[in-house]
Amino acid sequence: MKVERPFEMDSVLWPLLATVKHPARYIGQEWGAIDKPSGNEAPAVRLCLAFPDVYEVGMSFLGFQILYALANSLEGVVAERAYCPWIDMEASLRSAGLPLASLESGTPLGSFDAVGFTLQYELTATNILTMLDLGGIPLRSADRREGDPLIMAGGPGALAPEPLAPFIDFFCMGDGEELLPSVLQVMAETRGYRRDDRLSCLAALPGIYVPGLSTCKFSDGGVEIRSKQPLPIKRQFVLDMDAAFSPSSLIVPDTGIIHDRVPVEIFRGCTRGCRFCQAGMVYRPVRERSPEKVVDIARDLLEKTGWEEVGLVSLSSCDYSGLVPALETLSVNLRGPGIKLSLPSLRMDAFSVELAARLETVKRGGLTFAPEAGSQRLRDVINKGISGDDICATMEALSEHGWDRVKLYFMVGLPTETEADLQGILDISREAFGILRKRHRRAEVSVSVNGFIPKPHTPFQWEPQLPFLETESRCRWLKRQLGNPRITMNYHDPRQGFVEAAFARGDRRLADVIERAWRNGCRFDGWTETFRFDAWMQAFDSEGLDPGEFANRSRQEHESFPWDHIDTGVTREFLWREREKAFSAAKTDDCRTGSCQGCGFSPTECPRLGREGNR
Amino acid sequence: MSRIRFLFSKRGFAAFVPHVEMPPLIARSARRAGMEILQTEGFAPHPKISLGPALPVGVPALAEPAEIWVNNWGESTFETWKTFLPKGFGLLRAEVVDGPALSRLCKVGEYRIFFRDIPPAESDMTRALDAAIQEEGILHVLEKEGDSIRVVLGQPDRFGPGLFVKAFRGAGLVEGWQDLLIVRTAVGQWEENVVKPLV
Repeated sequence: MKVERPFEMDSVLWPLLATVKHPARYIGQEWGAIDKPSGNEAPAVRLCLAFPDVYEVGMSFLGFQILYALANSLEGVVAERAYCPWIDMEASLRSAGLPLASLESGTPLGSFDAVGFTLQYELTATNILTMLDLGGIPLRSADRREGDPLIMAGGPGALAPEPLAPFIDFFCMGDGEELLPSVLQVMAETRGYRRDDRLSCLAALPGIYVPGLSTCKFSDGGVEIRSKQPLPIKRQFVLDMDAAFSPSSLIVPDTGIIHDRVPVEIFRGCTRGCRFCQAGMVYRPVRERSPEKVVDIARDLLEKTGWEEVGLVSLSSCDYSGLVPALETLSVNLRGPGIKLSLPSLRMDAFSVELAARLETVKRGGLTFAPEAGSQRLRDVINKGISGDDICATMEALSEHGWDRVKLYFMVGLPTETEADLQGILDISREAFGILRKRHRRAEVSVSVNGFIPKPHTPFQWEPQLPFLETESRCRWLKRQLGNPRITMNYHDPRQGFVEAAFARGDRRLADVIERAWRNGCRFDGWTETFRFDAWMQAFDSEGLDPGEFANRSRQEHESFPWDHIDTGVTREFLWREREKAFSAAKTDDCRTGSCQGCGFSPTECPRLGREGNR
Repeated sequence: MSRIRFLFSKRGFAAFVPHVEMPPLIARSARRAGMEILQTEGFAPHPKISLGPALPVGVPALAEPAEIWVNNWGESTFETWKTFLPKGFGLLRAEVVDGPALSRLCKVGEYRIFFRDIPPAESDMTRALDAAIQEEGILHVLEKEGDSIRVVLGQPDRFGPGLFVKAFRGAGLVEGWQDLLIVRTAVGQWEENVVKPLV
């Protein structure tokens, strides 16, 4: 049998893929990815959803699964995807003179009408520059030409957008299901208009921030942002999760990804009110999906995707009021043998452990819990509503159900932390070990410690971050004190946390630092193996800025913040009130079980308040 | 319950999907097609699927053997299943089998090697492979065939495309994977100087 010269020989990418690590990151063509033939009718808008990290991280992000399906369901819109090439692939593309292109059609990013980034994490900033540059798009909004795509960005990072403002043409504040259809419609309607005019049209939409229309004035009182568009920009959100767009199928990766399962959102938002938690503040109010809808989506997506696992996801899944009915229906209805159900983000109580014990997926391996702080006092400061008794009861329940190991998450450097609080971390870890050890000879506790990073739009947005050397010495002290080989501890590099903190509350001047660091070779700064602290410090230095000013400085009550022009729905007054309560270790109830805490939403916006009004 | 042996192809960029990722990929496609896959016993049950000899990343394959155990295999299942594979993967044939395990039946692998530049002399390649293998009776065929070199190697679970690249690189014939393309054309029994497929 004579074999013809295979078509693979003609692929320009093939020799690159044959030599880089994990080439499957770059191949696309998964089940569920669009494969629209390029017909006669050109789409009105070609959108590339761009995730500024590697494929296996980006493919685990539910948001893009939703937006991809949503955009492709719209008439005249084609949405494709791109992920950030790892360092080896970036070098290969550059030396071959090839652009970064979309997975679906191999179109260079620069040839799209729009490129949409998601900002999930501060330390992906340099990856955005890599993707723009490799995609053939000028880094700065001001340098882009008429034919260049419009660059947009959404996600939690968009709610404190200033460090990235010069690179992004417009930011989308809030839930993509609410924002994207109108954005794409305006883009289709303004096709052929001048870039500036298109951006002005987009600026008229609710939730859209065009930084190019604004200027920043820096003074002792903080940053004042003025804009030709009315400020503040109000975050837009889906009110009814049952009515919200939900994909009828998903892209199923050909290779393993971080969260390799069908994700089904059971609710959005969280009102536990942990004072350090940005997600708990910026995704309010809590909007639950009905258990019937959850079951329908899960069943349907399992059938369409063939995935072997479904995860019920949210910020705190055990808080879902429909959890028991949803789990009961799902466990009898799951299709075929070997289909697993998982429940990430477990609450620390015996109920959660009972639930977990019933789920096949979590029976093996250990469970992870986050007491966050070592003492009751400090847990009250951060409003982490769990007690020492809860922790013991959780460990007892774990042990009874046969688990012999557990992972515990703590933060170091929380406001008001003392040595007694650090001692508390050791006490909890030892106590947990002691409880597991009573039943299990091979008990193991692994403790993960992270430096606290104050985030914008939280009650701790005024607080200084502990200097990283101090964080490091506290982490080291903890590690030295452990004295039990069955209790292990690891901590994140506090230098990375320091850079993250600087950008979390940074202003527009930091864009120059980002670009400088990127030009100095910074890439994948969220990855331990590629993070280069010295290069970052050099970049700050070259731009004459002190990262400590952003990370370690205590702010005055009325300082103007570079995120004040973004209205998440939670008021600054509420955040300050929470901050004051934190310092007197006063707890705030979850409004789902207690009274309304007046965080800022109106009865028409907040399902809980709405219910109260109907009574 | 039916034990199904099937042949699949892996073309284009699909060739970069690692061998170890194939069982979940096959299982997902089978589930989409409505097949109920038997689960293995034991501590960590998983879909019962057996693959032929490992295929390195970046090697397209025309007919790889594999087996899957299915509870509801029917007449039309195969045609349905075909339509649920991701792009780049194809299903060629399938049949219900019994008897020895797949791994015991995969006696040889057959390959075509395409060079980006002028191919090295066959004698050089043979010498390089002989030196790398150091075992008698493994290299059954190495011959020029049109644009390509046809190679048949025994013990495909031990000797495969990785060996070609290593051997050729060692002999200074290529620099690495970027200089050639290897296609696995068949895996099966070696009978009368022909590779006999398993389905």
